[in-house]
Amino acid sequence: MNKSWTEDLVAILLGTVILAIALLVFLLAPLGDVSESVEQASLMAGFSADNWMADNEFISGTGELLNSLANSSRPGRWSTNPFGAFSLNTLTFGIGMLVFFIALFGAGTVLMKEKTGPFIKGFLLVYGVALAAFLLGNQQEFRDLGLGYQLWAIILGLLVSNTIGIPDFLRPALKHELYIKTGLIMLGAEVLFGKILAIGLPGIFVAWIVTPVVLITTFWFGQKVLKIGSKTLNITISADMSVCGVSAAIATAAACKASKEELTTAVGLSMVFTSVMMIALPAFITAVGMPEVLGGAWIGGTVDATGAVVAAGAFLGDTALNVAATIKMIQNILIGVLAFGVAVYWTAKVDKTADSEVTAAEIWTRFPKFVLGFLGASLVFSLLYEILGDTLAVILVEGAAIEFTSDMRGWFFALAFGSIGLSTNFKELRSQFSGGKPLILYACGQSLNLCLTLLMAWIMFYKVFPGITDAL
Amino acid sequence: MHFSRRALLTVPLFLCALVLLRQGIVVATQQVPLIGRQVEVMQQQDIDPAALFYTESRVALRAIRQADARVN
Repeated sequence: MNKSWTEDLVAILLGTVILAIALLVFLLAPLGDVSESVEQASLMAGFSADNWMADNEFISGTGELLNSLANSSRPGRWSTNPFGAFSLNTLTFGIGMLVFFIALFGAGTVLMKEKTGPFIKGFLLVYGVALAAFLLGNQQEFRDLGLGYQLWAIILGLLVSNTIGIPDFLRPALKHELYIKTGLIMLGAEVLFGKILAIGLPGIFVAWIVTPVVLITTFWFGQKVLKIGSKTLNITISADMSVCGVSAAIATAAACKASKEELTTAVGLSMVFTSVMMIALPAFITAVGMPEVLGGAWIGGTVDATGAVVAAGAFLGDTALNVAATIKMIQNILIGVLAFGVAVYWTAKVDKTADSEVTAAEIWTRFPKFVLGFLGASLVFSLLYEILGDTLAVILVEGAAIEFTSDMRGWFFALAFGSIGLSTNFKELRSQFSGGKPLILYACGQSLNLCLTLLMAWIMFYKVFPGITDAL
Repeated sequence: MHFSRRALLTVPLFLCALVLLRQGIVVATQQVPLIGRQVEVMQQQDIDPAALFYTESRVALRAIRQADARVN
C-alpha cells in the first residue's frame, strides 16, 4: 500500500480515465437514440454517416462541455492580430482546462508519492508554454506551412530555459515522459486496426511492406555505415522518417527510452523535411505527368505528417487526396506494432548486459508498461468499431469519442514538448547534430523510401491490381 | 536584475523574428507560384497541414471513407 506508483502506471491510469469518460459520454450515453435515428434515416436514399452527423445534434450537454474544454480552451486562428485568437470562451475554458490538468496530474503526483505543491507551481509555466504554442501554431501563415504547435512548444520552451532560465522550484512539473505516455495511451484509441483493409491489398503492400523494410534498412545504415553513436537516436529518426513523422517519433522514443534531446532532433528534422516535401513532391509529380493514383500513393507512403499528406494530395486532385490519405492511415496503424516491437527488442537485446541471459521476469520488469496501455486502447477501440458497424462507428467512435480524445491528446503532447524545451540545454541539443549524421541518416533513409514506395505503388496499383486503380 | 535584463532582450528579439518569419512566408507565397497554389488549395479545402494524426483532419477522414467506399 505504501509503495509508490511508477510513471508508466500513472500514465496508464490517467489515459484510461479520459478514455473511459469519452466512451461513457460520447458512445454509451447516446448509443440508443443514435442507433434508432440512424436505422430510420438509413432507409432514405442518399444516406451517409457524414450527412447524418451534419444534420443531427446527438452529443449531450456534458459532451458539448467536454468538447469545449478540450478545444475552445485553445486560442483560435489569427493572421496579424494575436488578440483576435482569444474570446471569452477561450479564457473561461482555458482556466477550466488548467484546473482539470492540475487535478489530474495532482492525483498522479500523489500516487507517485511526490509533493503536489511544487508541481502545481511549475505546471503553470508548462501550461503557459503549451498555450503560447497553440497560439503560434494557429497563426495562419505558420499553419499553412505546417509549422504546428509541436514545433512551437519546443522552440518556446528552449527560448525560455536558455535565455531567461528556469528556477529550480519550477522543475518538478517538467515531466515530459508522463505527459507523452498519457498522450500515447489516448493516441492508441485512434489506431484502428480494421482500417487496414480500406483500399485492399495494394494499400497493405505499399504501407506495410515498404515501411518496415525502409525502417530496418535505415537503422542498419545508421549503425553500420554512419556509425551513429546512439542507437536510440538512430531508431527514433528511422521510425520518424519511415512511418508517420512526429507521432511515430514520440511512440518510438518513449518505447526505447530515448533522451529528450534525441526526440527533439527527430521531431525537428521531420517538420523541416515535411514542410519542403509537402510542396516539392506534388510539384514534381505534376511536372512529370504522373497519374493521380500513383502520385497519391507515393505521397501517402513518403510524406511524414498526415496533415501534410492531405495537403500534398489535394494539390494533385481528389483521387490523389483519397489514395494519399488512405495509404497514410494504413501506415499510421503501424505505430502500435512499432512501439511494441521496439520496446521488446530494446528490453531483450539492446539493454541487456553482455554475457548474460535475460530472463522473462527481467524483461517484464524493464518493459515499458505504457506500451501495453497503448495497445490495449487500440484493441478496445478497434473492437468497438467492428462491433458497432461502419455507420454507428463513424458517428459515435470517430465523430464523437475520438474527436474529443484527439483534442485532449493534442494538449498532452503540447505539454510534453513544452516541458522538453524547458528542460533542454542548447549545447546538449547541438551535440546531437555533430558531423551532420542525423541529417544524412534522414536524407538517405527518405531517398530509399521514395524509390521503394514508388516502385511498390507502381507494381501494386498498375501491374497486380489495376482493377482497384480503375475503381478509385 | 540579471533575469529581467535577459527577458527584456529576448522577448522583443523573438517577436521580431516571428514578424520576419511571417513576412517571409507572405512574400514567398506571393512570389513563388508553387507555394501560392499550394496555400490556395489548403485554404479552399480548410486543410491543416500540421495535423499530427489522421483523426485530427476532417479532410483526411472524408478522403479515407470515399476511397473505402469506391473500392469495397
